Amino acid sequence: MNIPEELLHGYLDQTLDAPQQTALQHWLSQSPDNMRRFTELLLLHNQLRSESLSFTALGAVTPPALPQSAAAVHRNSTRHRQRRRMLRRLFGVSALLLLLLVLFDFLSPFGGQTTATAASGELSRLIRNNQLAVSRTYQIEVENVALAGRRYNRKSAGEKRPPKPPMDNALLHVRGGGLFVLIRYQTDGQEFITGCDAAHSWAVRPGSPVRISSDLQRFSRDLPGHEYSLSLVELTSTLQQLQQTCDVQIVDGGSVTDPPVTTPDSAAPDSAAAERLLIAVRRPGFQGPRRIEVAYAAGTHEIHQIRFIDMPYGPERLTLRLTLSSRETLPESFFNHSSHHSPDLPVEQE
Amino acid sequence: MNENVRIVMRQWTLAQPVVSSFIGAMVRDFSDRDDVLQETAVAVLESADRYDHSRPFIAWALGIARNQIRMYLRRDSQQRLLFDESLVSQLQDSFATVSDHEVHQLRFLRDCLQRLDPGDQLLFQLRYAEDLKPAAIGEQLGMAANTVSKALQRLRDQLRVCIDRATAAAQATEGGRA
Repeated sequence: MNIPEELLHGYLDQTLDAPQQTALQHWLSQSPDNMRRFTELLLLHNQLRSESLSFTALGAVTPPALPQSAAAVHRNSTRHRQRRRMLRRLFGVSALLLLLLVLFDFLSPFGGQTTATAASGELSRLIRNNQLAVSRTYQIEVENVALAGRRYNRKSAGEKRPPKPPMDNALLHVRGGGLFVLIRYQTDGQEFITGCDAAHSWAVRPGSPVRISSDLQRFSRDLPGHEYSLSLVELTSTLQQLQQTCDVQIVDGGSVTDPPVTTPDSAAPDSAAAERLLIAVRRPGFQGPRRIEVAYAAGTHEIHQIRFIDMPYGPERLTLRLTLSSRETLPESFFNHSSHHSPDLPVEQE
Repeated sequence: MNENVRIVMRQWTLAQPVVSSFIGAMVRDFSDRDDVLQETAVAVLESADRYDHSRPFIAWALGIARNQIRMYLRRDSQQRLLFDESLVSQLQDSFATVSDHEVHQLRFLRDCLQRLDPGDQLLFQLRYAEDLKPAAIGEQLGMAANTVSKALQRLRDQLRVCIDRATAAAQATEGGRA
């Protein structure tokens, strides 16, 4: 029996009592080699957490729906005869699964889920498509609002910022090259409009002068995701950010665990065509939404829907989705502030 | 984004597994560890202008992480540091010497995990994705907590061997090409 190894693993699994804890500390302090061994194990432990989360989020591991059979595998580890029987059964199930996978592989260009390299290639194609000078309108809906952790709550008690215009039912018009118009509806029904025409950003708030700025992000800073470089209004940079901060995989045929993607027929004549889902799971150490799902047409790489799941936003965590609602061509002038207010309204340059 | 922040962001991506492991040594609840890691990431970026590029980045980032751990322990009176300060310093020094090669090796872990049988994968799923301790896993699977602990230890050792073999095989392939 290797006592230090048991202590090390017991520490990781939080099963040590006080005397064992003291024994571990003593052993670690005895030699840098001992500390080195501990360090190696902690690196593995950390990576196991990351990989297990990725597996879970991507549905790559069989969920614990059959605990009895899994338990049996371990209980019988010393009973060779029973184990062989179990393995034969597992082999049968595995063979069936393998057959299904092979069939699925045959039918799908991505074999269900992609490698990281293929996913990265798909993401690059989505970015290229999104840079095209094509107008698109997305309807924004807030699916869920949850309070964030306790520290956020403590902070929020001291904050006295004016309420942000609600994101729910907002309309986002975008066009490649960083042009956008975001229309949010205040609780009194009035429109609060922000936008960017590539030269200036601007804001049209009811009862206030129009404000414009040469800082193109000036009026986007209150939007969910902005502080994590995952801006709703700059989809290209958001997609680029996913490459840096997330584990990405592609799944054929739409959503895996969440509600299926709906694309209005009027907006997507090719909606009958194959649809793919890009799932980006945030890596530990990076901030932002826990998971982002991008549903898009397999052939054109046009985005039909984006879901930001558990997006930190002030004291809350939002799950919100952008759904493509129109491809109507919008003139360049639409992205200028003058298209969104009466000509007599004063304009203040910041 | 200024050039310092850009450099620090790039370095952070490489250092993050090491810093995360260091934090995990003292903040063992996974979700709390993730919170401290995020706060460390923010502190690292906010301090980008103070980073001396002639010094190793990991050692610098570990120092920031250690401060964040202290703040976490101060905030949450339920938690206490299980190691004394001297031992934490030794651990910090040990992590500061982790090489890129060691971190890079861990890329084989995913393949190694996929080679495990479903029951073993389920154990890791419960331990790491669900953050269950051996006693709770044992309850779910109808096993003794001690059996779960031993299985986890055995499987981690098995994965270590698998990673070492995959690394050796990759090096042999690269050597062959050269």
